[in-house]
Amino acid sequence: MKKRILFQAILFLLLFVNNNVNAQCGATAVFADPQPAMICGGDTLIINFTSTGTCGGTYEYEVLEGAAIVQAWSTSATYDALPAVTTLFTVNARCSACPGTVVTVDFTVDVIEQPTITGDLFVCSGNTTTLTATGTNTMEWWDSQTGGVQVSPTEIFNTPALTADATYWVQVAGSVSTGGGSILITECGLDGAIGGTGSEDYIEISNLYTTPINTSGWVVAVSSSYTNINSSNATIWNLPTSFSPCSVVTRTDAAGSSDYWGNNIFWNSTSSSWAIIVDDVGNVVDFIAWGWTAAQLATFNPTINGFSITLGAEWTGNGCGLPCGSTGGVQYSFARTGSTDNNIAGDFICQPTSVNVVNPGLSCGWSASATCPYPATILVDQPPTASNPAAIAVECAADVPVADVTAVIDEADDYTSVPTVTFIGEVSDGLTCPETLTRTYRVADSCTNFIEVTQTITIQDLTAPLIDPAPADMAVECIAEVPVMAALNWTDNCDGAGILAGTEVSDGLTCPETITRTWTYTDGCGNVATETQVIVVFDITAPVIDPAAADAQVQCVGNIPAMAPLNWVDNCDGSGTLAGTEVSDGLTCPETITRTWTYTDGCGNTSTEVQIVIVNDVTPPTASNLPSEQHAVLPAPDPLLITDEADNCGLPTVAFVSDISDGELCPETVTRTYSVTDDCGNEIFVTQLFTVGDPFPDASFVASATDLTNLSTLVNFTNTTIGAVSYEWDFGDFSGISTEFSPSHLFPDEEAGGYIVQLIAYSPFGCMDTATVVISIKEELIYFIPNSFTPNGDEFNQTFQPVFVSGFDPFNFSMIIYNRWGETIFETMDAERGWDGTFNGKLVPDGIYTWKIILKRDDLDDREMFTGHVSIIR
Amino acid sequence: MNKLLLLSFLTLFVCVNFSLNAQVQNDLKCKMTVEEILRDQSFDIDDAIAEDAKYITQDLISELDSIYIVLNTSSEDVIISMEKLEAILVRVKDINLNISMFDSDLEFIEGLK
Repeated sequence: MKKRILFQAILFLLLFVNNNVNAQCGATAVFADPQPAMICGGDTLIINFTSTGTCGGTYEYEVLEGAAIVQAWSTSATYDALPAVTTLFTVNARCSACPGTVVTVDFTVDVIEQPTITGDLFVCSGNTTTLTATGTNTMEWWDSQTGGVQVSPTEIFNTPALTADATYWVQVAGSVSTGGGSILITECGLDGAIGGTGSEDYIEISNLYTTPINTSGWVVAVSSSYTNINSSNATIWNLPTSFSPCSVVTRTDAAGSSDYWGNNIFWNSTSSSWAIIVDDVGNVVDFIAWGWTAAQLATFNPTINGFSITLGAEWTGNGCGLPCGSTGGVQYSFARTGSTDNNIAGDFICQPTSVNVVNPGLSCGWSASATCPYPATILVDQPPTASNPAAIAVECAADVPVADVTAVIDEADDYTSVPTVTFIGEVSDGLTCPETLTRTYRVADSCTNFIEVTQTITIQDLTAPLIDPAPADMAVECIAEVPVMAALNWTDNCDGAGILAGTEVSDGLTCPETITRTWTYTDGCGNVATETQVIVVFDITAPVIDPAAADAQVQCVGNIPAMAPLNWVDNCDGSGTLAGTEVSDGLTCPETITRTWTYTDGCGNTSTEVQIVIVNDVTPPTASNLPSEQHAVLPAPDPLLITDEADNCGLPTVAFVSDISDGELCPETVTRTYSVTDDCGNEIFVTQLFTVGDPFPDASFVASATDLTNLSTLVNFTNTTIGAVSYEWDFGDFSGISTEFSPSHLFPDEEAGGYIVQLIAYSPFGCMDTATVVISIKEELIYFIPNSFTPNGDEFNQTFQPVFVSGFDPFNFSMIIYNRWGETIFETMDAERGWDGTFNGKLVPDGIYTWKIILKRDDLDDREMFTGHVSIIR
Repeated sequence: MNKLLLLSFLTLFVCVNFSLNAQVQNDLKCKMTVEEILRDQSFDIDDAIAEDAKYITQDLISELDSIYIVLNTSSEDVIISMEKLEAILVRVKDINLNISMFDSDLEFIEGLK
């Protein structure tokens, strides 16, 4: 016993040591992923390998199919599997640092094999066919590779009548157990979905693992509002501590049910709601919603079991659609379908209730399932094809070929090797030029499918007819020279031949007139042939006129010769006599008269003859000068005084021209001129001399005295003038004019002064002369000086006052009184002031006193002094 | 037998206690739960309208309760509470909610006006 124990201890020790050594180098396990693996026939699947253990180098892998190595040792951790059938592979793994340690695992690649499809894959249009798929898996027929409509739930499919190529798909289903599982919401029943009243709902949770699951702390919550997505029913459902494998648990608000949960499920088939499984750490295990949109679900954030919940990747897209309730007595519910939880609405369908049983399509332990679509294309015999025969174009109906089926050259069919071509008929469009014929050929295959092709034949004459050439164009001067018009021959490719008359059209003009002759033939299709001849009639030859008389010059109109007609002749107009026209230039001296004879023929060709007659008077008129005359005043001009004026072409005109004076007076000589002018301005002058007035007289006189005093102012004047007949005297003292021959005159004597005496003497024709003499008159000094005076206070002789009457300058006067001792006792420069007999305000004594007067006389420049004595007597 | 006796005492205690309270306190006379009230409606309890009905019923019970509490303390705020009640009754009428179970309460409160 001890040995056995010892042996076991040693063995244990060895194993322990060995294990420690292995743990230091080498793979302990190798895994292949994915597993299980399933592919469709023909697909490639990449298998990834991972190893666990301790490796100081690189893990290496070897893949075998049975005993055959399909991938030798390498560091590649993948294998591209492309098996035609389900195949078991083995992968070996080792560490490059210790290649002796090898671990192995098998992996299977399940292949959903392509079935064998039998049936007629080529049918006539409108026919059906039966397709049969043969294989080992479940097969269905669908009309699309994905989605679409199932057309047969079995491997046999009777197609509908086909009119076009069609492809149907054999959906071959395969599955493989994964050994995995999930805790999932598998049903949500609404509106009495389990057969109770309309308000009874339920929720079903499934454990699809093949082992018990500890769901302690996991809860199920449901919505409690149709309008607020984050309103969660406060009552939550705690999942069991140990959720039995492959089992279903349910909660319902159907009273009396063993799964009664109170009235905690507030759902109906037409309103939005949700349900959720949350694990013990707040992760969302599974979720379903219906009626809510993706945008609304993005706001999902209720607090459940103390956790703030968001969906994350646990739901994508909109919630399931509405409604899903009882219909026709059959209770429906949102039920999970398929073995894959994609976290989308498509994971659920609305189907009859199957509460408390694992849903159809779900299996415990899950399974990897796949469906492989394999196409089957049925080719439907299509109608044959052919192109329309080439169109034909001809010019004449006689050229149209007969119908010929060989005109169809490319007929073909997908089922009949040589389609049949037959001529059906020909239709005209009823038009002309072009007329279009449509010929129809039928191309038919053996399935009686046919098409009709058409050939278009266009009949249109495009060739113009031909006409013989027209005569050459020509030019003539007179219409009489135009030749006669002839007919021309024509030919046409469709119409034959004939003779054609032409038409002649004038352009309506003259000089030139163009005459166009046209020969036109138009065939049945309007093709036109035209020949033209153009004849131009244009007279370019001028007529001829006899020469006019030679040009002439005359002095008077009366000398112009008479105008005579001239003869003319023209190539087209014939001949005649032509009167001329006479035109004056409107001028005179000279006046030019142009005489013209012009003939213009029908085309404006003109011939002209001209005679110029010039009328110009170059001979001056004649007249005699008038005799000289003398007048006191120059008489007015008078052309009528000239009476013998004359001219060669008529009476000339006499006109006063000018009076020209010699500038002298007494007498003045004036030369008067008259002009005598004829119609051409030829002019002569005649003159007449006038003597106007007579010679000046010679005025002179003698005065009896020229220096007078105011005491005698009478003067006698003696007239000594020669050649005068009248006289005027002005004495200069404003006493008036005297016409006496020799007057006497008394000048004023009041004051001194001088007077200019003027004599104006007049001749018989008024010529005058003057003579003057100056008469001067002086004043005599006249004064009285008393010799005594009596300043006694009476009214007489109170002052000594000398009196100066005339002949002195009062502004140049002084008087001085002296006493006997020579003292000046009085002095004045005023001739009007006298001495009152006082000196220094007192009367002087009676006695004799001396006076002295100094003054200036008017007629002398020096001062004159007078002295004397005066006595005072009282 | 002992259980029956105990139950009898308990019932008596509760009734006495309730009677005492009733003598001095006004209290909500309708004792139904919201769910019971909703089930008493013409529509199904899961109908969409039931959500509004639930909120209105909760508000009605809450407001009636508030009025009773005010009555038991003072009468100053009763008028304000009455106005709130009137507003809730308008909402009741809008969805044709059956509130016959509150008739006693509403008659009592009507008598206060």
